[in-house]
Amino acid sequence: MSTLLEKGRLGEPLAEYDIVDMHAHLMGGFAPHGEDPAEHLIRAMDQSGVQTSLVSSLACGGFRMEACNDLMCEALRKYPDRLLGYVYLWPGDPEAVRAEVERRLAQGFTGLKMLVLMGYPYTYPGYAPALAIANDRRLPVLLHTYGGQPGLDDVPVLAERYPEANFVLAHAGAQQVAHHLRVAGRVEHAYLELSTSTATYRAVETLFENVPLERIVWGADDLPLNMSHQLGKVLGAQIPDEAKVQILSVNPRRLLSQIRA
Amino acid sequence: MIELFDAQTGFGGGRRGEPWVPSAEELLGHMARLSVAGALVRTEFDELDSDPMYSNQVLYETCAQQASLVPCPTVLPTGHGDVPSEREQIEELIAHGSGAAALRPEQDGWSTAEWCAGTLLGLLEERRIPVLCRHAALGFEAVADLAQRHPKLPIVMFGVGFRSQRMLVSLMKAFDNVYLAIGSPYSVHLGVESVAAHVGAERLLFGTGFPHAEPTASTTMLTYSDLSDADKQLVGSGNLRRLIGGIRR
Repeated sequence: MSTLLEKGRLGEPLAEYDIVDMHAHLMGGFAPHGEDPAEHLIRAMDQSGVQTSLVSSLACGGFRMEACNDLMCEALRKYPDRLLGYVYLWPGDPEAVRAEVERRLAQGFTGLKMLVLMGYPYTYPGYAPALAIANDRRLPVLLHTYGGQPGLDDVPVLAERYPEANFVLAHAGAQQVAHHLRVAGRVEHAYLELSTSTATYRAVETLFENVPLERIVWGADDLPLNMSHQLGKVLGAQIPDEAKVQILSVNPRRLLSQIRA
Repeated sequence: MIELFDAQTGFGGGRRGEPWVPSAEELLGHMARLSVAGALVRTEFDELDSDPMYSNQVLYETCAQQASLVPCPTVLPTGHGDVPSEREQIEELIAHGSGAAALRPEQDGWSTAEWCAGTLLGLLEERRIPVLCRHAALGFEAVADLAQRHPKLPIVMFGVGFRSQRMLVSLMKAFDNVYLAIGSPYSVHLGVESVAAHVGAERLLFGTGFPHAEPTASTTMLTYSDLSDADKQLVGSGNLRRLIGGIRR
């Protein structure tokens, strides 16, 4: 039987592994004008056979929360077997945030997405109603967290306030990996997600050697990044194939199974 | 299986605050793991490489022992004479079977302007020697200027990030002597497909980005891409072999 590395080298489909991508977007700037970004995302998933992507929409501008989530809702209806949705949040008005999260969860969304690049720390009060709901429902909360940049140090604070929410820390290992390792050491319900354009050498191995395996998940950050490129980091990592399958499928499925109705 | 020839890699260089100096053996180990047939190699990491002529000798010696490694030495204008003349550098490059030359103007203290680098660039163009330029060191404006002044000089950009796709495709549409090596950090949603659709797969070169990057990432970006098998083969190795074969030795 071929190893996962061999399959990747040959471009063989990986559908049998039930791969879950914990980090995807609908966004402008990467699909030709007039084409549906969700369709493009599915095309990227189909290249290797990624089964499921958890997606947030940033396609309408990050400050237009409802418009972004409307687009995401359309995509979920169009691809119900392939896409799961994060509710994207713009935290200006806490009551609007609460209403938006309740409405979107009722529509079938799966988790929350917050982006520190919008200029608000994750501890900003406008996010609090959403995080309280995530805590009650044990939702995955995807946070943009580059090592050495604002956002990551908010995670232990959130973790103490919301001990039932599952925090997915995007871009773990991209840079200053020790920063992610410190935070992961303090927060047991933090999951390290691997996307980064740099495909930093030995990042996956470093996390594998220092973090409990069940807390490493895979995400592609496609769009804008390249899903098959992001997948290659895991396929080529010098760790056992069983661990790769756990990162690509078992761990995210377990995380999703914890969500309370 | 698609043959791969890595256009974006190297070994033997140091990085600030990091003890690891990647070796040729480590690179060869990854090439074996991924069945990569050959590699065009520079001094990497290059950020502490303050003596390119010495590094070139190390590169030549190592490549002479390994048939799968093709040297890509650093070249620079002679200026005040602290390095051999441009012609001597080119002759040495050719004599060692090099497949390209690396340009690092900022790091090595020179300008791509004609008054500084005209002789060097003219000789490289005359010989059709491909030049490799890291995007962070030579931006789109500088590459465009170079491509316009030296239209027969094959210019291979590498290290282009995902935010630059619009500029990249515009540049490649404007200048048919500009190529892209697709090693990390080039990770763009269907980016290889998009560049190929706009300017042709003939303008893309496989690369890994090792030692900065995990080499499998760019490999699967190509193997799983929507390109035809023929185009994958061009990108995987055919285009680089064609460029190297075009050097007037």
